[in-house]
Amino acid sequence: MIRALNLMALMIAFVLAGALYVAKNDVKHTQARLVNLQTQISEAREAVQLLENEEAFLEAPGRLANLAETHLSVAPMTATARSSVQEVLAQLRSERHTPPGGAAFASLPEAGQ
Amino acid sequence: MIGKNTDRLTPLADMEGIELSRLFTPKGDGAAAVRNTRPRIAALSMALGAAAFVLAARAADLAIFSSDQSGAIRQQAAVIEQPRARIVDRNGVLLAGNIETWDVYVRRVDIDDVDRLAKRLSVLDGVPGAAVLAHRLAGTRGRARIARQVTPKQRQAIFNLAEPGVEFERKLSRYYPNSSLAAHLLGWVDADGFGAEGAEKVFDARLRESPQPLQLALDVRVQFTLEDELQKAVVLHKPLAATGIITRIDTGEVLAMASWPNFDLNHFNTTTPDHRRNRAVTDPYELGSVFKPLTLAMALKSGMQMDRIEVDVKQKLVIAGREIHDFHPGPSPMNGTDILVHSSNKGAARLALEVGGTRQREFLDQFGLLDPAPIELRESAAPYMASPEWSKIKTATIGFGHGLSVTSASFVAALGGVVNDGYKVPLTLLLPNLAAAEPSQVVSSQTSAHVRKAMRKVVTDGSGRRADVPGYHVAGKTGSAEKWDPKTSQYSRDRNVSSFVAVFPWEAPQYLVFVLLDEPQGGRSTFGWETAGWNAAPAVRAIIERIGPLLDAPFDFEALAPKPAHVAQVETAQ
Repeated sequence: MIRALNLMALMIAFVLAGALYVAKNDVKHTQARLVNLQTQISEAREAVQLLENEEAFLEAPGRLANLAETHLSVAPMTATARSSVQEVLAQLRSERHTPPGGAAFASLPEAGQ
Repeated sequence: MIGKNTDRLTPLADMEGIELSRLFTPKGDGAAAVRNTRPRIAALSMALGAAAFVLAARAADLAIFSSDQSGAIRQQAAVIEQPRARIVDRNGVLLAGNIETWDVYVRRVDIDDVDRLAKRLSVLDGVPGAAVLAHRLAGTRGRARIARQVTPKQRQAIFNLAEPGVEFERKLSRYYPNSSLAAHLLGWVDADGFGAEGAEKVFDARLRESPQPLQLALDVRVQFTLEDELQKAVVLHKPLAATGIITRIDTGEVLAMASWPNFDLNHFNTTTPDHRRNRAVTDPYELGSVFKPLTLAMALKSGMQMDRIEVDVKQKLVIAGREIHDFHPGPSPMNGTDILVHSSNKGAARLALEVGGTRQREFLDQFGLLDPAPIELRESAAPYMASPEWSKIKTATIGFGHGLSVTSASFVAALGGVVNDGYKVPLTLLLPNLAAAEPSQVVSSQTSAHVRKAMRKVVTDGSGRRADVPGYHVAGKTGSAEKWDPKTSQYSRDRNVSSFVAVFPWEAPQYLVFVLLDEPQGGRSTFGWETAGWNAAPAVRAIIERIGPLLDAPFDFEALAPKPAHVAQVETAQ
């Protein structure tokens, strides 16, 4: 009887040890996967940072200003170039009645229409 | 013939009446040998058993109880490698980021011919000269670092040499995509990744501890405009140095801060300390007439009534044997507005004398002009006075901006307080304004309004006309301060510090623009003049004209003169 109990206890101990080993092994694999994923995330973040650096470089105001002046003949706006919406509409309406060289503005609606 | 024995052999142990022990019992010397051997066998068995137990215990420990050590190491490495937080402007535009670079090492043991390797490597970008390299390699037995922070392109070039002893170690380095933009304000990091200057230094702990980007109050567009116009002014007027600051008056946020000469942050170590100095916070100047609005505010705060100020500027003003002159002749007596419009030194000096040295000192102290500028930057310098004694002549000269040298940032913070309904607000680089305490009102709203109105008159009728921008209701003040010449112990006639301070819209100011040129030269465009009305004021005008739409500043369309019909037609046709 005692021998049978001992044998059973030994078997249970072996089974538990095996289960623990399997669980531990799974955890190890999961941890390895986690580290792998973290590495991938880190690499992706670095790639995003690199792209952001590139974007910031390409959109640097000095660079854009040079390109705009060179290729588009665009210059910073002066205060006297500003007009209110009312002025623009009034101007467009007057153009509609007396088109300077085309009918581009002839079909413009009246303000508020 | 031997017959075949088919009988099965019976084992001895099964035979009855036979005791095996007796059959093999040694006798004599043999018995002694057996007795001697048994303890040895027992000891050996115990040792083997103990070793097996230790091995089994360790196996169980590794399989069941031990934590994942390699994972812990990797995590630790990840913590060490956490990148320094980025710095962005108020709109989220990247100002400082990180890029992957490599340190280059050479394993000495793998190199046969040091000189040959040094020659091959030295021709590449980012690697020291052959002699330095050879010396470095010859002096080591293990691994020698030959270059730091090489770029991917440089790394590839070194890699292409296919030298066996060369190794690369990856690291993250600071990168500034806008190169020189806001260089002085941003600062830089040292080779080990610690903030060395500017915002990088002030917020170093925050940048290293938190991965979240640090958002500054700075606006990249406004900063670029300031630097661009400052550069144009430098080309035109050839000063020794220049600074500029743009702030939001109600919060003290620094939208832009620039110094000239400038430098490239990505190659900061190739420039001189002189280029890297943030003059806006490190260089105190006697600013001259831009101080006069402060003097007027001080006089009003002391109890003088704006409409009752009458100062005789016809009479000679001599204090301690030194006569104070006016640069522009004006009416006499002068009221408070006239003193600013005609930039009268005598008028400002008489106001200051009327108030007295003690109260003047208190007033300047209340606005922080006797301390380093109220801003996060650690390089912020204290004001300078030739002597600590607050004499009568000092009281008079400080009234028109001489005798007390302050930094541009200090002055901007003080004047910002005067025009901000009298509420003093410290400058800040951050957004939102975390450093802001409850603002204290140092002068009354009425005093603030009087000063603003007088400053508006300076722009419409006085020396600041070239700073006026139609529609933005600019108020301001010029300052052309003669520089002290230590060789002659006199103020120089031909070397001055030229500055202009503007606030807009003057009725309820939102923005402040300050430009300073150190020793500008007269030229054809200024008809030989070196004064602020001819150089700093036009620079400020150009800046306001460009940043106004960017900041969506209030704009008065009715202030624009109606355009002639033919101009309007051309503009519409375009």
